[in-house]
Amino acid sequence: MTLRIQNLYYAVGKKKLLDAIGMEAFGGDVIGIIGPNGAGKSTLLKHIAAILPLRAATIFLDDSDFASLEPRTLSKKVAYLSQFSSTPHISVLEALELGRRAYSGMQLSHEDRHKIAHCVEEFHLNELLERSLESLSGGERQKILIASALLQEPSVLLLDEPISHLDPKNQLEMLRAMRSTTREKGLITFVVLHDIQHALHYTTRLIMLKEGRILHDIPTKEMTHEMLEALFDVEASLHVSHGHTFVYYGHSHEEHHLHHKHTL
Amino acid sequence: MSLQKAYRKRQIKRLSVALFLGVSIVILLWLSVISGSNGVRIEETFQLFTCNDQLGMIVQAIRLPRALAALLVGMLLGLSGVVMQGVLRNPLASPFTLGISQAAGFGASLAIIVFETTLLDGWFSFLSIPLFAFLSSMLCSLLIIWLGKKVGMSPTVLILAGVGLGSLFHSGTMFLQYFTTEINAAATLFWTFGDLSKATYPILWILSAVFFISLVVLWSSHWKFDALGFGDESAFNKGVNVKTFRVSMLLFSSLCTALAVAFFGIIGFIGLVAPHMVRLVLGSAHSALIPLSALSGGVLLLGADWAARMMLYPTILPVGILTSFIGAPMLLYLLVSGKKIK
Repeated sequence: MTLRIQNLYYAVGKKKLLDAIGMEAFGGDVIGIIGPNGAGKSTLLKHIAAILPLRAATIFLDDSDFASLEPRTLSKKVAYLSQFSSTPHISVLEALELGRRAYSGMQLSHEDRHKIAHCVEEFHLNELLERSLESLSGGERQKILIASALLQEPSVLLLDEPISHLDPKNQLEMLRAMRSTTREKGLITFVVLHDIQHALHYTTRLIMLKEGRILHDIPTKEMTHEMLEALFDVEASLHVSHGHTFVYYGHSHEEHHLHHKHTL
Repeated sequence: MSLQKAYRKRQIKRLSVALFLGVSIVILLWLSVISGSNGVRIEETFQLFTCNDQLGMIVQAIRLPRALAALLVGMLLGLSGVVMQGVLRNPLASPFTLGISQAAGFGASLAIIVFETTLLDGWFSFLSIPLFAFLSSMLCSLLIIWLGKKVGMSPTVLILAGVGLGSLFHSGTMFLQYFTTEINAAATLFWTFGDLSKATYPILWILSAVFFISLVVLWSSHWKFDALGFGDESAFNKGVNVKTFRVSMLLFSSLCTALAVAFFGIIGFIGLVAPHMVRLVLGSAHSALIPLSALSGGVLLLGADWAARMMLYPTILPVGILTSFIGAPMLLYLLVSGKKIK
């Protein structure tokens, strides 16, 4: 499975938000999109989901041209989790059912109900089914939204800052689920992350966006501190310890260590 | 809890509310038919629909059509309220806040003051008030949608356009009233009170047809309203063509309102309160909210009309006065007591 994006430009007034974006992505890729605020990360995801008009841009998933697809057909190919979405006063069960509506419309089929039951088991949602979305914690709500998105059985999963409001435990759960689901189902996952540490551990590829342009598009393990410095305009250093890479900003690892000692 | 159990519990809860509303409707219909200057014993109730004596005639020609009109208009207003609140994602959206009722008032005033008394007579004179009220309401809805389309169909823009146009139509009505005779001004004022005594069987047939068609069309899109609750972008990704859906649903709900208001005048608060009552008990899932808001609108207006007839008996109040009188505190109560109004 291949996703091809070509010729993607987007401007509001004179400000270019996306400039000459083009790339290819393949099944099993977890692509981290990183960059400073206002770099165009969310805008890029909204274009891949065809929420924003594609104009001259072309986005093909194998032979399907996203620009020509109806929302219901598109919904079966791309699932998008917005950074800011309001929470309606509906139950968890009804939120999960929404994930199957693109397939069956107003009346869910036996197969849809079977898939919802499977999803409930997989995500351990039995105890939450009757609860209102509003009554859930941030972590629980995010889990339901992901479950509902996966019920769309998409080929492309778009996650816009999915962990920004979660505590560390829920962050890890979410990122592990994202990585394993992408592998198991062969999805193409795009995830906007602000924490480079998480991007380093949970993505296979990194797209670095700055002022609407792709600065670097690399396998995650090839990231260097020079790239980060150019991306964020801040001093950065990378250090490997016990097989893990750590990122420090502003000063070197030694200075960081000393600083840490002094503050203690 | 297993999925099957959750489905069953949800079904039972929804059916219980539907049953409660259904029984309330039957009781209120019966009360409306037997109440009035000529009392009826319970065992005589069924004879009223077949016998040709004076009481039978009163029931068949006046009380029954009036009660059925209350039920149908209440259901239409409940339906249009839930649609407007759903597509505009605003709990305060209703035919009144969107200016559609004020537009109907302007259309009726135009018919009474400018056309009916000068140009038209005969059967067209009888139809001219509802026709102008209807056309004016639909014009208001189309203007709201046209203005909304100019700036991207966002819910906020549509609501503000509705508020602005409502004010414009209201000032138009006052302008007409200022320059007309006292009799005509009084006629326009009485029209705006909202009165169900104008009900006839042909009107009821029209209202029923529009109600059932609207119910089927709106209910078949129930999941799209739920998806919109997450915001336009998320709804699009769940398979909703947001702009087309919003326009077509607004047109449908405007049609329901315009028709109800055109024949019976302005009846406030039913469209606003009925959906909130159901939301408090069942939440905002539109598969239940759409049909049950219609039923609760029917219950509210039937109850209000019966009360309007009986509370100052033998004086019969126009029902529009009563719905606004009890609707406002009811809404405030729901706001204070219910955290689920969203």
